[in-house]
Amino acid sequence: MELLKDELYKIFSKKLIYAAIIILIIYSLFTMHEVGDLHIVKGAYNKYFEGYEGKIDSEKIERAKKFGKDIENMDFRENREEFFGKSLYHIEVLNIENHKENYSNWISKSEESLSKLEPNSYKYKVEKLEYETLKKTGYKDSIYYTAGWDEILESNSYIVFLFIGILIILGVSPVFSEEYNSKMDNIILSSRHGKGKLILSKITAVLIYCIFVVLIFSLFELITYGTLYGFKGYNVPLKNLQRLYDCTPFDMPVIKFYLIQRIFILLGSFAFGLFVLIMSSLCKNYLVPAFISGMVFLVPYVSDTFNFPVRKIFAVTYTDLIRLDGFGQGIDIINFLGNPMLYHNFLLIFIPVLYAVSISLIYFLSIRHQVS
Amino acid sequence: MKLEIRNVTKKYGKFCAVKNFSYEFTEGVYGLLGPNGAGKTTIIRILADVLNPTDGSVMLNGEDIKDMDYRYRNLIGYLPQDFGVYKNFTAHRFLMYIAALKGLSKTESQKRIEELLEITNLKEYSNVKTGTFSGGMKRRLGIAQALLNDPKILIMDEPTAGLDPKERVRFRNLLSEISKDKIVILSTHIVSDIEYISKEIVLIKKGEILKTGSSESLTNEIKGKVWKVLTDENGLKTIEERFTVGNIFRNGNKIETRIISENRPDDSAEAEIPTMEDVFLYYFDELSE
Ligand SMILES: Nc1ncnc2c1ncn2[C@@H]1O[C@H](COP(=O)(O)OP(=O)(O)OP(=O)(O)O)[C@@H](O)[C@H]1O
Ligand SMILES: [Mg+2]
Repeated sequence: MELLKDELYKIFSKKLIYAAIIILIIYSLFTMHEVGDLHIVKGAYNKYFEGYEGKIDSEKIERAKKFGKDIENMDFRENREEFFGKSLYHIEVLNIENHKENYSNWISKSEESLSKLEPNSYKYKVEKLEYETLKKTGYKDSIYYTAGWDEILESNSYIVFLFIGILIILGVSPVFSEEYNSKMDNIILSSRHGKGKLILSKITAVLIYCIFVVLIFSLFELITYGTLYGFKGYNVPLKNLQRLYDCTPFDMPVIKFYLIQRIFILLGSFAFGLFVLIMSSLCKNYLVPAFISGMVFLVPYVSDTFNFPVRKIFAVTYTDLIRLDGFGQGIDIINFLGNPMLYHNFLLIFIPVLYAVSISLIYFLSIRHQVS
Repeated sequence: MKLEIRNVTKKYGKFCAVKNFSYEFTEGVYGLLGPNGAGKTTIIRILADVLNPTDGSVMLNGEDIKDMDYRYRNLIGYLPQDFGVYKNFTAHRFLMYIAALKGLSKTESQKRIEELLEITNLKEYSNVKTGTFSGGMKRRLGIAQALLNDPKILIMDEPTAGLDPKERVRFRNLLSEISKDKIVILSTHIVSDIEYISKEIVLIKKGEILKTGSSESLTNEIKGKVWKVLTDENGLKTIEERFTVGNIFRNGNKIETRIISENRPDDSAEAEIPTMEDVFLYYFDELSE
């Protein structure tokens, strides 16, 4: 316990991490400012939604269709905000109507192929998993004002994952390197707990640091998007979010999914933290683990952005684990030892295995370490 | 208690820093004496379990220290020759940290740290960040941390480097005081550190034991090989070419030199009583500090 406290102090007494947090937050406030126009649109959206939220019924569909016709005679210079709000809303209503049709088509097609496919074949299992998941969750059938949560859920994969990665690299790279570099390893390795408990304390300190980093940026997202768009819609089923979650496998309210997303981000962050720790236990100068981890983190991101083929080599990268791009937005199936598995369930097996391997490696490397 | 180095060899690539080294320590103070690069630090590190030998082993009472693992480390206190401190830790916090590493309880550590800060004369710097410490203060902090767990085996690499004469004396007295039931191993190339307090001195050269013995027996062995010669500026040149020269003392035109020589260098030479300083010169043919 005493050891853990000191390890935490070593990490948290670095001014660099606070400077980085402030810089990153200021940076993202500036970029957010650029989408201010969108904000006006959102405001309009919000205004028009009052009183029209909820299940889509035939009356709402009729009104949307009528709006489609009226639009030609409308003078939208007069009341821009209302025009935006109304058109967004009515387009969404018609989209949902389409979506409902697609969904029932898909269900019947899926039922058909299930009856044709060889049971126990991999294809059958995949089809069955998709069918059962979508059947359970149902389809998007309502419209609510959920702009705040749309932004909050998306901002991680948009930019915040980068901040988390950077902070982990900055905070964790020195954990072992600095002991080697400052020649503290001499005294540490000769002490009773230097080759055992201390390593556990360092790993625990990294876990706590990762929790801190994820919390800080989660709070930042909540505060900024919360003040911009409000928290309305937290108890709406996830599939009824305005954007992106129409085909989610998660059958639950937004707030619950938000917490699950945070947990997965944290799981991924700690996995990456352990990776940085491994690098740190190998190098004397902490710039080396910082550089290597930076590469491991950024290369997949850059190749995703520019569609480089390198991407195809790795099914899961540390970047994916923190970014969680598209997480919960569709049915993502992974072939795990011949069995189809939902991506997030696969992660729940994969990440603990990754932890076990990483932690063993950290123990192995730092016990084997010798002074020079 | 018997600490035994058995046929230890340490190689760095092709270079052999320690060659087939064997020695036995029991309670008492030991001095490892040797010139720069002799391999003292290498041996000390192997004893402190921070460096693995290429070959051979270290045994405590017949048990390999690698098998004893933390049980061995629990018994030792180690002052490295070159060690770090956390710059933004205060002296007190630094010692609390090391105490935790050594598995001391909080109350135990508090008491012990008070004592040691007193002993090492650092009490008034207890709450000062170690980043501002001078070399000598850092060394004293290092001595304090080595003593935290009241070690049965105290291993110190050049403990007096950077200490002023007063602190050196304090340190030597401290050692004689605490060494009764301990194995104390010091490495140094400063003869006076160990001359009077060590039970046995181990002379090391190029990774091998050259000679061992008490300072008395070592000085006795070179009796009749230390001379005082009076000469002048011209004579000094020839003397320096022919002999190992120790102290040179100038007094006006006259120069008094201390010479190591198997035979009487010239008729005017007077035989001197050898000191450990002379032993060092005799075996290493180099000037000690
Ligand atoms: N990590 C290393 N890699 C290569 N050679 C090394 C390493 N450490 C020590 N050596 C070499 O081993 C030899 C013994 O070094 P060691 O530090 O044990 O000497 P020492 O007796 O402690 O010297 P000093 O009085 O200067 O402290 C030296 O020649 C040194 O250059
Ligand atoms: Mg040395």
